[in-house]
Amino acid sequence: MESVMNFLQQGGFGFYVWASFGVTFALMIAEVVQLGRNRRTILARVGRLSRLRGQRADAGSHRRHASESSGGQA
Amino acid sequence: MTINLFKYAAPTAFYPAAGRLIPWFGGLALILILFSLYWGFFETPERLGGSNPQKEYYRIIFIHVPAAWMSMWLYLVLAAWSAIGLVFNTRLSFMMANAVAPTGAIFTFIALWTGAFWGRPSWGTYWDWDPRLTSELILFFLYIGYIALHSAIDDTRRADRASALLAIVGLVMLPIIFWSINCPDPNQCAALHQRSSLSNIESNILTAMLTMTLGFWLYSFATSFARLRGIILLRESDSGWVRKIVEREART
Repeated sequence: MESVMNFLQQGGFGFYVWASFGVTFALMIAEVVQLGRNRRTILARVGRLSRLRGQRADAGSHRRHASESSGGQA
Repeated sequence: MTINLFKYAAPTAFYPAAGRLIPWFGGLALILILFSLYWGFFETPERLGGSNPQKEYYRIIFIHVPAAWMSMWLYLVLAAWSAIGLVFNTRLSFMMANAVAPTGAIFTFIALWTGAFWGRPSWGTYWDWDPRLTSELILFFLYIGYIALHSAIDDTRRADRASALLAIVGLVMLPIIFWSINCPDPNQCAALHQRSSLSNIESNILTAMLTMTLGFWLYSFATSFARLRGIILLRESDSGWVRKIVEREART
C-alpha cells in the first residue's frame, strides 16, 4: 500500500506527472472513441444516400409499381 | 512476385488494405506504449543528477519528446501529401493529408500541454515566450488553420487545394522549431528550453522514450487510416463499390 502511495506521489511531483500522462492518454482514447462514432455516422449516412438513389432508380424503371405501392400506403 | 504499389493509390484498393492494417498498427501501438510506460516508471532512476539535475517530474519526457517529434513529423507528412496532391492531382493524396491533420494537432497539443507541466516544476512557470515554445504554438495554430480552412470551403476540390497551399507555406515552421533551441547569444534571445542531448542520455530513459515514439507513430498510422477510410466512403459515396461496402457492413 505504501509503495502504491509512493508511486502515485512521484516524490511530491505527482500533480505534474499525472496531469501530463492523464491528459495525453485521455486525448488519445477520446480520439479513438470519436473515430468509432464517426465511422458509424458515415456508414449510416452513406447507406441512407445509396438507398435513396436505389429507390429513385427503381421509381424510374417501375414507375407504375411505385405509384401503386405509395397509393396503397396512403 | 511483384507488388504493384501504385495499385494502392486508388481508393478502391486502399480502403480494404487500410482496414486490414488498422488492428495491427493499433495492437502494436498499445503493446509498445504499455511497455514504455512500464519501463519509464519502474526501470528508470528516480532522479537525474549531473549538469541538469531533475527530480521525478523528468518522467514527463516519455510523452513530451515523442509527442513533440510526432507533431513535427506528422506536419511533414501532411505537407508532403498536400504537395503530391497539388503536383500530381491525385485524389487520395489530399484525403491522406486530411486524415493526418487531426492526429497531428492532438500530438502538438500534447507536446505543449506536457511541456507546460514540465516547465512549472523545472523552470518555475507553465509558459514563457521562449523561441521553442512559441514556434511549437504556431505549429498548433497551423494544424487548426489547415482543418478550419478545409472545412470552411464547401467545394471539396477547392478546399483541398487551398488548405494544401497553407500546409506547404507553413512548412517554414519546421526548421524554425528545430533550430529554435540553438540560441547563439543568451543575451539576445532567452531560450529556456533545454537542448536535446540524445548521446549522453541514460539508456533506460532512452529505451522508454524511443519505444513511446514508435508506439505514437503506429498509433498515428492507425488513427489516420481509420479517418481516411471514413473520408473515402464520404467522398466516393456515388460509386458502386462504396454502396456494396456499406451494404455489407450494415449487415455485420
